[in-house]
Amino acid sequence: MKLTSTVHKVEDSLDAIDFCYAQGWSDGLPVVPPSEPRVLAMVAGTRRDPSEVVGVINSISRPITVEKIAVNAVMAGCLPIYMPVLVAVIEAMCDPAFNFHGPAASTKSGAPLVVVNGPVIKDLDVNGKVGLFGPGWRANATIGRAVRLVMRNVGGYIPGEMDRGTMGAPSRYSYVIAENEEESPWIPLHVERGFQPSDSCVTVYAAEAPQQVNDHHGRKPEEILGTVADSMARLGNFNVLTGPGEHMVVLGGEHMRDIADAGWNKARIRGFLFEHCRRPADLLKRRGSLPGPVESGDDRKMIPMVERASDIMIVAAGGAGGRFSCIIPCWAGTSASRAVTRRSNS
Amino acid sequence: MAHLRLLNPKYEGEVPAGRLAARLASLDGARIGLLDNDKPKANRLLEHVAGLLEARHGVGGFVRVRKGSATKPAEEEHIRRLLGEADAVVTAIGD
Repeated sequence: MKLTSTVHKVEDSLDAIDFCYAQGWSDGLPVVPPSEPRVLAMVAGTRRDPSEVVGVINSISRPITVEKIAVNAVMAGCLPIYMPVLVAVIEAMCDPAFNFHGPAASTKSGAPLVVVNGPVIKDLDVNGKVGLFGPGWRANATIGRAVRLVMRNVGGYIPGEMDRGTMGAPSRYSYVIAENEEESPWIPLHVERGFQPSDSCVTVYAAEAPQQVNDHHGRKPEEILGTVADSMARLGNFNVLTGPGEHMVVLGGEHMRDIADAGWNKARIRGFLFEHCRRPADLLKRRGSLPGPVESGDDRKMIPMVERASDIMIVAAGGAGGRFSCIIPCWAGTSASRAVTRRSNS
Repeated sequence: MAHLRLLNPKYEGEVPAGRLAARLASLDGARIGLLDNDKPKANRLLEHVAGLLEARHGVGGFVRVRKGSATKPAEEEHIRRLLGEADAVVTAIGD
């Protein structure tokens, strides 16, 4: 197997960690030195040739090869068995619909959220239960970190340089979850998006960091989801200013069970949220989220925060105890970015 | 002592180099492309610039184009139109 990356010689492993810092290769945390044998083992985690171009970053026309993904995966602390998932994530991000460059460079500090579905959840031990947004699970932490390192080192998205994120975000270190398929009463996300239950898939969504929704009072779906819908329509959310985009709702264990016990499926949940994640037109106009002057009747004209119910993605995940869920607004409207799902099979 | 051989994680291929177009000798009578990047108020900024160009430099007209999305490159058809119809292009972002 032939690798083509430039070789740098260093004395030992500790020197190597400092060397990686000095080269600007790190996200701020120590990295695993990308030694040749480790990179070769990482490449062997996929059936693809190291020279294969997995995708091209739009706007800057930058190809991403299997070899460069592997070098960054080593630095992130990935295991070679994570490679097919990682390759699928990069492939999805290079789909024009996702728009790799946009969320990577934008002042909004969005990040690619990866939702893992299918048998690979168990194979790699990707966490979709208690504490799923981290920390503590190697697959979640290192796959997401590898994505960020690829963005930094291959794409050149370095904060203050091509990455213009005003605030940054913890989700920019790593942002990977699984759906809790084992306990979910509903159809998994990847199946809703056209794949088979037996497919292992990643869905990549350019998104804000997760916002928790605390509802300890409601027991009925209308009550719990009413709180969720209210959070989806918060004026400061990215989706409210940038025009209709997608939205993800991660329903935690207790909320999930109460809603499911009442006989609601994901379609009904989406329909309810679509009807209730709204704000009056006069308010949105006064805050610059809608164009035009305020007109008579605008205070009764309720504007949905997504264009259609199908733009709301529902994921059942999180711990079994505690009445919490999360909403995850989009990074931008659907004309700028859409979530993309890819099979992880290489 | 044995050395560790580390592989470079960065992109090492070619970076396509853009180049600036030649300056116009004069703006007098020139047709100016106005490329709106689709962000709010970009059009206001461009129209202000258009007014100045008309009043101060006697430009010969404008070709107005608006991108489909602020976060994506201008569409091929828009670039072709600007290449074919404009002598120079001003672009603006808004917010």
